[in-house]
Amino acid sequence: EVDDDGAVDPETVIPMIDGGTEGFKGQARVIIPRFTSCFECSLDTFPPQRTYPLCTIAEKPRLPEHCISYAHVIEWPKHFPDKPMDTDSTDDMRWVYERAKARADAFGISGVTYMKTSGVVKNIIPAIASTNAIIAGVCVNEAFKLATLCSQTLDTYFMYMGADGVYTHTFRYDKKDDCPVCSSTVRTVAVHPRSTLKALLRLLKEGDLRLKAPSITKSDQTLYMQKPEALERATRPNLDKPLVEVVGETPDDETLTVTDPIFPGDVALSIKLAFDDSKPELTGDEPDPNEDR
Amino acid sequence: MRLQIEDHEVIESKSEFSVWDLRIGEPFEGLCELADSVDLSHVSDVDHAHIPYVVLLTLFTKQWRRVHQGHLPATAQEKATFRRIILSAKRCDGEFNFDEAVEQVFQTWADPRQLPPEVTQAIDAAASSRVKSSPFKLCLQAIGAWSREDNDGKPPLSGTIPDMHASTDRFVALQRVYDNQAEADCNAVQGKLRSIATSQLEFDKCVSGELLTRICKHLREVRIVTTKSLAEEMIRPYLEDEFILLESEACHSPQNPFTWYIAVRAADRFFIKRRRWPHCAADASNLSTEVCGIHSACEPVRSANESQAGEIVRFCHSELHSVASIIGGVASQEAVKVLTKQCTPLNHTFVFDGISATSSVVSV
Repeated sequence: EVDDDGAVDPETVIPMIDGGTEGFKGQARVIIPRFTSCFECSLDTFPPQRTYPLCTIAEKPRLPEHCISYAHVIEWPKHFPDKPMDTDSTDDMRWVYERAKARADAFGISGVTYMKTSGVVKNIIPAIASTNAIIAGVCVNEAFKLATLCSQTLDTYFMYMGADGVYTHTFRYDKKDDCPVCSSTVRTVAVHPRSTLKALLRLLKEGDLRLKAPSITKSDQTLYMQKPEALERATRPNLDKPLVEVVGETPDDETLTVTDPIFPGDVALSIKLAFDDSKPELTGDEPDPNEDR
Repeated sequence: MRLQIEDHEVIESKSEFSVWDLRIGEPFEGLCELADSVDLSHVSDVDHAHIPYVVLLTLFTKQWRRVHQGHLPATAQEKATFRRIILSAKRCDGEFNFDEAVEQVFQTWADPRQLPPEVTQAIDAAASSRVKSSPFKLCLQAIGAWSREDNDGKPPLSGTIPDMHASTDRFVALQRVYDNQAEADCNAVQGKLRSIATSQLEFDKCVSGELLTRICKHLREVRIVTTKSLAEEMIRPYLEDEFILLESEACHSPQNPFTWYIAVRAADRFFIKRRRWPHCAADASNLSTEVCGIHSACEPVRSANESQAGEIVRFCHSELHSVASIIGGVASQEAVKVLTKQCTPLNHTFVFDGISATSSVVSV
């Protein structure tokens, strides 16, 4: 909460402690909203999700993972169009495993096992109990210190790597200047004037913000809204319009507001466009560079 | 948390930075034959875009050698020219295999004789007579001897290849070629092993459970870890490097974990002498003396003496659950690594400071 001068009232701040592990690696951090960096500030350090393109899965599998994805994503809906696959049912898993193995055998690929099938279908990341204990211990340690104020708090990020000996690194993760959540600056996005609205939305999805399903409005007009359905249909034609038509010749006069399911509460992103002829003219339908071919 | 182990042998250290063993610069027979069977100018467009980059690089390297008296690209300019040659052979934009070839072009001049220093150390240690022998070491000895004497310094081929943009048939064929050569190399090493082993029993131990095969496959990940013994650490700690690090770090505050290492060791000495832990104000000065006894030179640590000794006395007997959990977690992790012989264990002391959530590894 903020007081009359816009300063944050420390008594209303609820600190957050976040920790996670993957195999021998882990991290823990303390977030004091408005004082330290927030989760969103570090979002661009997350690597994009690894996907397998459909053409590799459908026609040119090379790895056991491709065969498993095929059985799971393509063959299952074909054989059971009305039943979504239940990853907790051993019968369903066994079916996928057997189809994957058959496909792998046909292509001469080895390595399909039941365990690998579970791993790919359920997106399992192997966990080691000791790493969880360590990171949990660090998190609880911080919680204890915050609750009792008996000692200094972690400032702000603790990284743990336990595979090669033991290594940790502790540092302060600084706030990002234009973070949409914890700062209120307006972000400028440079685009070609004839790039389409669809291309802009795609830029927002694939850029450092990792938005999921952005909706965008102008001061006096809804440009594209994902929900409700009727509004989506009504605003869909706007997607293919070039941006110079949508915001006018002088984009600096218009502040666009972007909302997205990943933003908490009523947080929204304010952006301004800057027309730059040297940028590529995009339609939003270009092939995905992040797809692993 | 202090780990003491001797001669710990690891095959799969699962190192983050392992390098693929592709041998493009000095291709083996199978790879040459496979590459020769491809005529880039006469394959279909689809096929052209799905030839694995390993095959592409082998072909282009051959071409280059023909024109350059058998040499590989060596200067920065030659390497740039080589990259351009590859790119200009693309028929159209979407040929990702050619892009991969350029990305991975350094594989062409990578020297297969170069092994990580830990591996070379392990091989040398295995051959040394001072070290206690074991099937693991005998395998390493055989690999070292075979590489030196029969294979021009090149270790046995590991046989694994990365995933790459390619058609299924071509990728599987490439995999097969590498598998076959790796098997042939491993069999050759086995022959060498037979001549080194002093008895049939020794030989059998190396070959059983596919020990030799596994070591050949994961050669670049092999490690032998031996920590200093506890006795030696207590009597003759070598603290010089740690002190130098302390002085150069911006944070040589009394909070630096290494200073706590000194304090804890001082408490150990106190316990040995007096058969109890320091716990009252009067003990603090005695503890300070112990701390001084451990080090003599470092200025920042000396000034931290008094406050640290005071802290140890104040905290004596108190064990926070969260900190115990952290240390326990690290201990169990190391136990898992030692028991499963996977990943590299700690060498040798882990010190954790729960105040600032920092840690350091001490190796004295």
